[in-house]
Amino acid sequence: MALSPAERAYIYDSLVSPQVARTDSRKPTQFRPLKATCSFLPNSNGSSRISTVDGLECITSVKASVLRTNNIDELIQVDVDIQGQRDDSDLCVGISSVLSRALTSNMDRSKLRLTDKYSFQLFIDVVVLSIPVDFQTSSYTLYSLISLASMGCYLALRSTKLPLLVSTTNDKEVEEEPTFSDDWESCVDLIPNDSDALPTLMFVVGIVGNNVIADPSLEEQQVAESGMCIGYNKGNIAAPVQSVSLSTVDGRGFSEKALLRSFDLVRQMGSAVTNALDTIAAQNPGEVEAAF
Amino acid sequence: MSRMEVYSPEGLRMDGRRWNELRQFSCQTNTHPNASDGSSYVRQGNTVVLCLVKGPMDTNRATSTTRASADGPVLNINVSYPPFAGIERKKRSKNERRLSELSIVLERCFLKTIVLKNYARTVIEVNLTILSFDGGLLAACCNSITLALIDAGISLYDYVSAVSVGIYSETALLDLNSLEESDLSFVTVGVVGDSDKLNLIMCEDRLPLDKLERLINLGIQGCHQLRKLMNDTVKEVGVELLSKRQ
Repeated sequence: MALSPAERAYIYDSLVSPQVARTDSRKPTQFRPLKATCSFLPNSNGSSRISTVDGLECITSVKASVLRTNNIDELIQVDVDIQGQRDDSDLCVGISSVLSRALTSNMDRSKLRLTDKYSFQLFIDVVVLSIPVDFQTSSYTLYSLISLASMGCYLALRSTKLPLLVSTTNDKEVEEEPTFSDDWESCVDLIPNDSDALPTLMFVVGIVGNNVIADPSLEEQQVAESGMCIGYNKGNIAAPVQSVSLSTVDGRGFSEKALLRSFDLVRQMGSAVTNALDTIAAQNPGEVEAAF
Repeated sequence: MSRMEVYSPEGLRMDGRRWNELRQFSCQTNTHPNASDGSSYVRQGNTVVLCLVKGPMDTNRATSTTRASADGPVLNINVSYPPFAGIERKKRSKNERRLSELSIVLERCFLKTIVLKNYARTVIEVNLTILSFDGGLLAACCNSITLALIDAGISLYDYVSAVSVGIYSETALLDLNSLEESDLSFVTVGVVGDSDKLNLIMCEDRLPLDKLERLINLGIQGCHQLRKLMNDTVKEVGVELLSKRQ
């Protein structure tokens, strides 16, 4: 919804005050309810569906294929498709570049290596099913989708299963194509439960004055002076960290204090969100019907 | 057996069905209550389609620029085919000819089914997402649009249910999967309600003309079965809604 100047001023003033008053009376650190399920697509190695109450929804699929390559950089491909947006729109390109940096920076590539010449290539495809009807006429930029899409990718990667390799991993002498076990029961997790290399989660926080708010709603995004997109991995802030503009009007810089506060906020949220997503990944319904 | 048999002499198909049996069909409505005015999920075998309907709304709220028409709604149907839908990953361009053809066929079909006079100068946006593909694309899309339009409360004359029918030498086979689709000629038929009126028919292969009647007859029977299944789901949802109101 496009806000009138009076509405903007009211929301801005209540967010900038020392006792942050948010439009939906949330605490500054509080998320809105999210709904998520995983591994429901029959044709993918891993998949997830995550949706918010504003009607934004991400479906993420992870598909693996065997590739003959030595180039480690091309093993993970991230592709974002937003309904109603061109593939080369700023939003699509922006979100997919942040996500691919987040996912490739802390990935255990030894899991993808099959032999000296062959590797698994992972295709991570994110589909945003619908965006609000008033996107064209309002001032929010929807870069907050990074946060949602990143949670979707995390969940899809956690639920990804790869077939078990039965041929030898050493093919220096004999060139051999990798062969896999026919039994899908003996598949292996891409990220085992005790793994250290978890995918980086990205959080988008809104900055208003010196206050930092978690999971800004669409109204709050329109009045936010700036936004930060911060990576989180196992209790620490991780690369990439970058500022994003949440609104097309009244953008401003932010103070050092706000930056440090947003790091604290992400550290605080990160563990709770990781735990919640891990619980969902462990349930593993594996049926399409269960997801809808 | 050296290769897959499309239809065995015992009368069984690759997936164990008889000639006149549908694949497992399941559907739900109102799957995305926050994102759209009407939404549905349809699964026919391993083909899974999501449909989100926004509207009827003012033309200036639509995502693409459209001119209002005084005689009825403007129906915008977008089919998105994500790269992960098939077994092999394949990226398709947004304006692929086959997908735009599909949306034109569906648009024509539903403009005959929606009560046009109620929706003059409005836009109805229909977004289809194919989550998983295993044959019968047009049929699954058509069924999901019907359910989503019902969920959005848009007045229709009756259900449109669609199914694909293929021909294997002398036998007509109902509701093909993608392996059968690649081997056989097939036609997709869409039927209005429980009548014999066809609202949709599309054939992309060569078919002997003398067999067409048999195919269409089998298709109509299949459509009536699907209509019953969809109607049962809609009635269940309706009863649940009414019980909440009291």
